[in-house]
Amino acid sequence: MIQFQNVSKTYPNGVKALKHVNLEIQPGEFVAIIGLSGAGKSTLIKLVNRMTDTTEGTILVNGLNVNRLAGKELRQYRRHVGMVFQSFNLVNRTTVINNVLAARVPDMPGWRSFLGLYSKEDKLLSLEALHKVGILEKAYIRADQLSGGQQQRVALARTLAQDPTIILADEPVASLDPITANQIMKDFERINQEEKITILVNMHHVDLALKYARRLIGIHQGEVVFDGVADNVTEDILKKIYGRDLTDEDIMFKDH
Amino acid sequence: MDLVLKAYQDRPRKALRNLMSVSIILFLTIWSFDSINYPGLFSEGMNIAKNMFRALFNPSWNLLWSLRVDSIPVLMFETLGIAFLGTLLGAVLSLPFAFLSAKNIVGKFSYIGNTIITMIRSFPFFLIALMFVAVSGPGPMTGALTIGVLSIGMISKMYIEVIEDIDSGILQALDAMGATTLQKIRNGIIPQLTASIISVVIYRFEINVKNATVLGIVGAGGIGVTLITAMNAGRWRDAAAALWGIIIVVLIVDYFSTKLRKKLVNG
Amino acid sequence: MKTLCSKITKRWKAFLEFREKKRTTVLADGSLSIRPKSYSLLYTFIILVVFMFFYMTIVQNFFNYFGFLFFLRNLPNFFDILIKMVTQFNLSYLPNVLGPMVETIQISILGTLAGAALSIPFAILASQNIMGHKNPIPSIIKFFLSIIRTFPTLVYALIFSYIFDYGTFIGILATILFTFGIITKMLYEIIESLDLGAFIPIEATGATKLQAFRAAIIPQILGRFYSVVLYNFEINLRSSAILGFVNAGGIGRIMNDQMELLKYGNVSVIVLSLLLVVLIVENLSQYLRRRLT
Repeated sequence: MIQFQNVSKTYPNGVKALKHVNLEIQPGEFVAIIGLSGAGKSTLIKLVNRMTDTTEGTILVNGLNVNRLAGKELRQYRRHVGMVFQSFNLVNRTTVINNVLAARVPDMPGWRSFLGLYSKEDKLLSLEALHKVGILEKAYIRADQLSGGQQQRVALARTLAQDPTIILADEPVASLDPITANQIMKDFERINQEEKITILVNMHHVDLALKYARRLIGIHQGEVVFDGVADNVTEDILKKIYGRDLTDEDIMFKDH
Repeated sequence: MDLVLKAYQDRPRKALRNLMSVSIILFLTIWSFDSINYPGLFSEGMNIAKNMFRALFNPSWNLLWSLRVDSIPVLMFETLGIAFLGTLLGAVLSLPFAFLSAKNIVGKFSYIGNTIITMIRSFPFFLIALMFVAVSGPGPMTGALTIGVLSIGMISKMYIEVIEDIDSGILQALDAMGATTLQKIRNGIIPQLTASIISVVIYRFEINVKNATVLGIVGAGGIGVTLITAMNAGRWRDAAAALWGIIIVVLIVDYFSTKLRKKLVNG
Repeated sequence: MKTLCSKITKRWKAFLEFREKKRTTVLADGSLSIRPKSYSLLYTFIILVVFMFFYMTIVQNFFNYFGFLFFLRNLPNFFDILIKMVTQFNLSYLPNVLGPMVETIQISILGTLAGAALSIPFAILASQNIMGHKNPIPSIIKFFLSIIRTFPTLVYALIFSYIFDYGTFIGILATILFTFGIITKMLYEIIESLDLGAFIPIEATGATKLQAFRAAIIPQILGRFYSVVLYNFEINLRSSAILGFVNAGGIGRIMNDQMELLKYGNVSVIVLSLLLVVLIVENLSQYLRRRLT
């Protein structure tokens, strides 16, 4: 369970990214966070695995106070929280399997990880992860030879190989074309249902969020303005979240 | 019609620029002709040229096809060894230079390292050879050391390009999965660098093989020693054998180097 | 003998099968993943063996003969010359550098320009896409070019120094040959990477290959050709110091003289002035190249 208790975040340059956020996310939920860029979606996600620090309030994950973690404890905590980025963040010049295996590194003894000697279990686990996202046959190809969608799947497999309880996704489909984006969201949905992993994904495109997430959190200028089931979202609520009428760029499939 | 006329009048006027560059080149050429002092052939010059040419097609076969200490195959192996060890030394020595001169690591202080690298690049190589002769005497060891120091200039310059190209997104991802700094370097930075660095080193090896062939002329071992002693003694057939040795080895190295580097770039 | 052979082949086949099995992974749901053959371990092993071989024959041999202490004791000698170059720095020698420096620049200009001019027809003849796919001429020329490129300028200068009397002429000839080898290669690589879309229709209008080349290819490659020439000018200027070894004129000659006289203060003046000229030319050519491409 992830709990935000009166969380605020102010950046050193004075920008208030989040203001008094209170949230509770149950295990196994699929939550989409929507809002304009700069509304604080990204900050909200990064607070969960402490990529940035809170300035006020506490975040509890399964009862653990995330703010207090440091050093080894923080790294150990991060093992259970996977993260997927907009820009994939793969090592382009090495094979897909090596990229996925990198997720096993923090659990390995130092000398083994330094020499790149992965155990059979690690290799199996990584291959299974690739199989789950449907690109097993690409395992030994160099990452830079894959398409954008395939690269994002590798990143997703890398996260799965970590065996996480929570997956955070920061704009995972923003740089993909609509059809690929749809497929990646389907992967997220399947992982959520089959592996019972909590998924927090922030995105700009309303239609994709409505289609896949069961719960929506709308953020406007650092404040949570909507939190509820996707079916309850109305035009008015969207207007409140976006602060204006929806435009073409807020929707992935424009002809819908 | 006016538009066409206007377009014609507004056409880029390159004639003046072309005329200027042509006249500059012409001037430089004529000015440079002044430097040719053609002292003529040696009295024996034509004869020597003829003998050399004939020797080229009839080199000393016994020198080419033996494994004696002073035979061409053995000396070419020594030359390859000088280039190989020298390139490795240069590749290792260049690492600190490159990391201390890359903009994304030291920021605006990069010019200090860059200046040092330029200085090394412009240092005449037989001066370096001379310095090492004072350390390890004439011989292949001196050659390897010279090649090593000589390679720093180019290798570190190419390393810098590779390092400045590093994609830092992967570090963020590794951070998010709880990797330590050492693990981030091992799994995030090194895999990005290896292929490019190996390709740079192979390229430099190719150049160094050529450099190592002439090192002997300044007394630093390799095939060059034979080349210059044979020529000084007028043993053209021996010199021709050395030249053929160089040609064969350099062609082989060139072939494999190009092939390997292509493979490294394309994966 | 025959049984032994068949035994070996059997073992080998079993070994290959074993490798094949090791590369296959079976996942939980029964799907297979086969790792492609990787030779990186073999390559690493070969490199290690080669390294050990050269290390033993060159470095270990040296230490066995002279001892490691000898090497350590002599290491300061390396800096000896360097320190002399700094402490005995003799600026009053500068006027003596000017004449030879001008000569060096002139040698480089002539050598580069002549080499470049010579390279154009050969580059055309070496371009497979211009000469046609089945024409054997390009391969033959490429082979001869790669032989020419195997030798550095110094080797050519050395050969010429036995034929011609000492002087700049040797240096110019050697520079021309060396430059010719490199520029021709760079030029035919540029031409072969070109899109010949414009060349063939012009040839079809009845123009000769040369006319078509003038109309369709030259405008595309002129800028890059200039920058290749400038780049070679830099290389030739840098290598001019070496030519002194065979008395081929220019800055190399006085450098050699001063080194033999052990006047390291003068040597460092020569080195620094060459560095200065190289830097100026480098910046100038960088500026020109930016404008050309």
